[in-house]
Amino acid sequence: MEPTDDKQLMRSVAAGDRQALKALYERHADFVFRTAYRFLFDQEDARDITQSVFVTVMQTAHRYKPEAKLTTWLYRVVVNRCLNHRSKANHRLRGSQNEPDHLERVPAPEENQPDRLMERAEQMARLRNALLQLPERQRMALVLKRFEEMSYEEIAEVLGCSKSSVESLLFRARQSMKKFFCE
Amino acid sequence: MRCFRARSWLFAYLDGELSERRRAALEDHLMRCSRCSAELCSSKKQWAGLANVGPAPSIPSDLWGHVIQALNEAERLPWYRLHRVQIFRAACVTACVALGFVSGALLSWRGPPADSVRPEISVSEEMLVAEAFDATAFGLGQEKEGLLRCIPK
Repeated sequence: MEPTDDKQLMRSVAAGDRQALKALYERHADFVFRTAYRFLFDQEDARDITQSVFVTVMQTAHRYKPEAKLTTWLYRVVVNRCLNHRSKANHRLRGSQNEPDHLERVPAPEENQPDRLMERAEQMARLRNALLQLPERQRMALVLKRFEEMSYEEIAEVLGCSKSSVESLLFRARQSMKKFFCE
Repeated sequence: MRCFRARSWLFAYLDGELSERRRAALEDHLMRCSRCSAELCSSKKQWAGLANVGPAPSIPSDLWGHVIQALNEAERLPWYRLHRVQIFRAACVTACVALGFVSGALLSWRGPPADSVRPEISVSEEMLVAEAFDATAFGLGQEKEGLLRCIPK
C-alpha cells in the first residue's frame, strides 16, 4: 500500500525510502522554495535552501515527532536555513550593490509602455530592498504573515517564540515598511 | 481609548488577532476618530502594496535531481563529517563535565594535611637553627648543641 499521509511518509523516509521523500517533495517543495525566495529574493539561494531542507528531512526524519504538524516542522527547518544563510546572501547583495534578481523576470523596457514597465521594475526593486533592510526575524515574520498567511500562533511555533513576540516583530516590521511607503 | 493605544492595536486588528473585547473597543474608537480611521485605511493599503514585491518564481524542474545528488554525496561522507554537530555537542558536554569535576575538586581542597606543614618560625629562630646545625656539623662541642634546645618546637 502506498503511504499517503505525511506522518506515514515521514516514517518511510526515516526508514530510508527515497520514494517517500519524493512524495513529500512533490507535496511541500513549493512552499519551501517560495518562503526561501520571499526571504532572500535570490533564486539561486532559494534553490540551495530547498535542496538542503530535503537532504535534512532525509537525514533527520527519525527525529520528527508525529505530534507536530509536518508543515510546521518543515517551516522551522526552512526558517533556520534562511537565517543561517543570511551572511552569504548579504555578501552577495553587497557584491551586487543591493540588486536582487528581480530584473531578469521584469519584461524588458522596450516591449510595451516602456516608461510604465521601467517604473514598475524600479518600484519592485525598491520594495524588495526595503524588505531586505529589515532585521531577519522581522522579515521572516512578515513573509510568513503576508505571503504564507499564517496565524500569530503558527508563526510563534515556527520562530520558536511567544505570540506576543510575533505581534511585536510584525508591528516593528510594519512600522519600518510604513516609512518606506511614506517616502 | 486614546489614539496611541488604538494605533498599537491596528495591525493586530487587520490580522484578525485582537481579542473580542479589544476589537470592540477599537471599533468603537474608530467610529469616533477620523485620524485613526485614516491610519487604518493607509495600513490596509500598505499591507496590500506588499504584493508589488512580485510573484515568486516557480520551483526549478531539475531541483529533485539535485536533491538526490546531494543525498548521494552526503551518504559518501565519512561518519565524523556526517555527525559533526553531534560530535561537537558531545565534546562540549564532556568538556563541561570535566571542567565541573576539576572546579569541584579545587573548591573542596583544604590544603595539605596539617602534619606535613612545617611550623612557621621567625627569621631569628631560623638563624639559631642554622647556627646549631653548623656547630654540630663541625664538631664545635656540647655547648653549641644546647642551642637546639632553645628552638621552639
